[in-house]
Amino acid sequence: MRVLHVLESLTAGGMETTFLNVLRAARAIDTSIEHHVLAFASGRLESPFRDVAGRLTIAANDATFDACVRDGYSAIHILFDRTAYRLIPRIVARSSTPVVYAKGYDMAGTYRLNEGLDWQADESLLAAVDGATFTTAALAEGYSLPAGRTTVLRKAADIQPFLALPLPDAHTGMRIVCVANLHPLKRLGDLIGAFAQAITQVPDADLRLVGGGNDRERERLAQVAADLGVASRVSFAGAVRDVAAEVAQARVVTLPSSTEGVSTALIEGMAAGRPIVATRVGHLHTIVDEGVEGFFVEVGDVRTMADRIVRLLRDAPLAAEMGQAGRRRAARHDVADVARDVVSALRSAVH
Amino acid sequence: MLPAFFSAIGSDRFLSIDELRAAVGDHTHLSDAWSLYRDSFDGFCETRLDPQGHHLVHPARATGTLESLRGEHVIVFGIGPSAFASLGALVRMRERVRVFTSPRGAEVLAANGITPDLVLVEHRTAIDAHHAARHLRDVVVDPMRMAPLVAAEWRTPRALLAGVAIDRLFVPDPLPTWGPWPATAVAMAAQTGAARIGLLGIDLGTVQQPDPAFTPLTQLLGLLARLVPCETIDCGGDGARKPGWTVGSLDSMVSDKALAPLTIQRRPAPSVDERINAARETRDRLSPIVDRAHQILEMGLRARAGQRVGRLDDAANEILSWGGDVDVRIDLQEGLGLSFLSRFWRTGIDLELGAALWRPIVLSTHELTGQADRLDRLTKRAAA
Repeated sequence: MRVLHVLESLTAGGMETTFLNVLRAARAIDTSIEHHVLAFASGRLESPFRDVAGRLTIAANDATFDACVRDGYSAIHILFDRTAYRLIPRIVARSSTPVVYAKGYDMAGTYRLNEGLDWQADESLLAAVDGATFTTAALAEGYSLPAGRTTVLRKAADIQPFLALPLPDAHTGMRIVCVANLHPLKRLGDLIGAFAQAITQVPDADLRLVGGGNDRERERLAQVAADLGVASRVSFAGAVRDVAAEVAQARVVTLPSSTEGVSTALIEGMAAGRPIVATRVGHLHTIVDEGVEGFFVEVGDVRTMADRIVRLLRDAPLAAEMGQAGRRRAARHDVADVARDVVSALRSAVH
Repeated sequence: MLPAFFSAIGSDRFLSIDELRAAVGDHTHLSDAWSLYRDSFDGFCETRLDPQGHHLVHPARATGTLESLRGEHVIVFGIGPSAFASLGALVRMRERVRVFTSPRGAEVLAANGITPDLVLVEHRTAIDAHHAARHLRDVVVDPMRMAPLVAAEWRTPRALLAGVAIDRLFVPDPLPTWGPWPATAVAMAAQTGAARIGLLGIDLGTVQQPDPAFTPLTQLLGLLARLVPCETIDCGGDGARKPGWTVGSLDSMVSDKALAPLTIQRRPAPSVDERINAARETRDRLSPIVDRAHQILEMGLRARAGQRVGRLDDAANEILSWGGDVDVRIDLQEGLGLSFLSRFWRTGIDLELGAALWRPIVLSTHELTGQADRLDRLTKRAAA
C-alpha cells in the first residue's frame, strides 16, 4: 500500500509538527505502508520530513501534484482546508484513487469552532471523500458525517520527551514559559503585561517566549516589555528544536491566545508536569479542566492572568498537584495511539 | 486605458475564448491573456464567488471608480522585504506620489506614520477574508480607520469594515480583477490614467529564487505591463523579476505634480433591500435546478453508501450541462457562490470513472443545495 500525504507547506506550525510525529509513529506501527509526502512550499520541517517519508516532493504547482497522482497511489491523504479545497475537485474529477481528508484545526476548523464560521465548501468536501479524520471529537461535532467513513482521533503530541522531564523542584527557577509562534493572534503582549504585574509579587520571576515567527511582532513585543520596564526579565528563545529543554526550566506553562484549537504546546507542558494558565478559547477546555490541570482566564484579562500565575509560582503544592494531574491527562494524547487510528482510517478508505 | 477583455476574463463569466471574443471583440493580447487564465489560474479566478453572502450586508452606500490619475505616479505597496528597506525613503517622498495598498500594507504604513491614498480590500477566498477580519481584532491600530479612501469589493465581510467611515468607503465598480490584489491595484491605477506605476514590497520571492507560489501573479503583472500604456517600474530591486517591469529606484517614482486628495466618481450603491430582492429573484430562477440537484445528490449519497443506483454518468453529464446556459452559469456562480461545479465546467469530469463518479456528483450538488439553503437563510436574516 502506498499513500501520498499532501500538505500545504513544511513550516513548523502546529498541524505540520503533529503530522510529522504521527507519520514517524505510523511508520513504526505498520511497515507495509509506503508513505510519500508532497507539500507546496518548503519550511523548517523539510529535513525531518525527508527523513521520515519514503519520498518527499516539494511541488512547484498543481501540475506537479497531478503528475504525482498519476503515479498510482492506494490513497491520497489531504491535510489542510486550503489544500483540500484546491485539490480534491482535481482528484475526484479525474481519478478513482481513494481520498482521506484530515480535518484538523486549520483555519476553517478553528474559525468554525471559535466564531461559528460556516463554510459550506468544507462541509461538501467532507461529504465527497472516501474517509475523513477529525483531530478531536469536539471538532467533529456539528458536521453532518455518515457513519463508517469518519474516524475521530485525539490530538496527538510527542509526549515522551516531556514525560521524561523531572518535575519542578526547589532548584527550578521562577520561570514562566509560553511556547507559541510570535503572531498577533497569540496575544503575547497580554502575557507580558500579566508578567509585569506578577513580577511585583514574585520579583525573581522571568518570562521565556519560545517560538519563531514574525520579526515585526518580536520587535513589537520587545517594545512592550521595554515600555513596562521588564525587558531584562523577558527573553525570546526563537524557534527551537528541543522544546522539552525549554519547558524543563519552567514552573508554569502559559498560553494567552485569542484563538486556538487544541494546543500541542499545552499538552506537552502538561506531560512535563507543569500547571497551565491559558485563555478560555477554542477546544482547550477538552484538555484542561478549570482548577484541575491549571486555570483559565478570559482573553485579554491581564489582571486575572497575573493573579493565577502568581498563585502557581507561590503555591508549590498546588502547582505540583496540577502538574501531576496534567501529566496523567496528557498520556491520553500519545502520538503512537493516534497514529494507529490514522493508519486504520487510511486502510478503511482503500478497502 | 485597460482593454475590456481584462476584466471580462477575470469575471469568470466565459468558458471559452470564443465566448469571450463574441462578448468583447478581439484584441492583440486576448489570446495570450486567455492562455494565462487557463493555464495559471485554472480558468477560474473565483473573483465573483461570495459563498458567505457578504454582499447582502456590505455597508457601502457608494460604488464608483477613481477620478482620473492622468499624469500621476502610483506606488502599489505590499509587505515583502523590499518595502521595509524603503520605508524611510517613502516617508520623505510621500507627498509626491500616490500610494495604493492592502489592509496589511496599511498596517505597516501606519506603524511608520504613512497614510496611503487608497486601501484596496480584496481576498481570494471566503476563508482569507474571514482571516483578515479576524486579524483586525488583535492588532493595536485599525489601519482601515485612518485610510482616506477604502475600496472594498462586494465580498468583504462587514466586520472588516467596522472602523471605516461610510463616506470614505466605496465598492469599486467595475473592479478590474483576476483575484490577487496587487494586480488589481495596478489595473485600477492604469484604468484611470496613471503615467507611471511602481511596485514596492511586491517581491514574490527573490531575483535568485522566485517563489513558485506567486508564479501566476508574476505572470499576471507581466500581462498588465503589456496591456497598460504607462511606465511600469519594480522598485523592489531584490524581488523576483516581473516581465515587462523595469527595475528602478523608488526615487524614480517622485512626481513633480502636486497631488490633490484622491476622489471617486460616486454612484449610489444598491440598497440592502435591493440586494436582497435581487438575491431572492436569483434563487427563484434557480429553483428547478436546485430541486433537481437535491435528487442527484440523493442518488450520489446512495452510491456513496454502496447502494445500486441509476446511471451516474448521466447525472454527471446533466450537472455539467448546466454550465452551457450562460444565464444559469452566472446565477449559480455569482448567485449561489459555487466553486466546485464551476470548476467542473472547466475541467470536465471523466465519465469513465464508473462507481467513483459519486464523488464529483456529491461534491458539486452538496455545495449547490447547501448554498441554496444558505441563501434562503441569509435573505431572511438580512431582511430582518
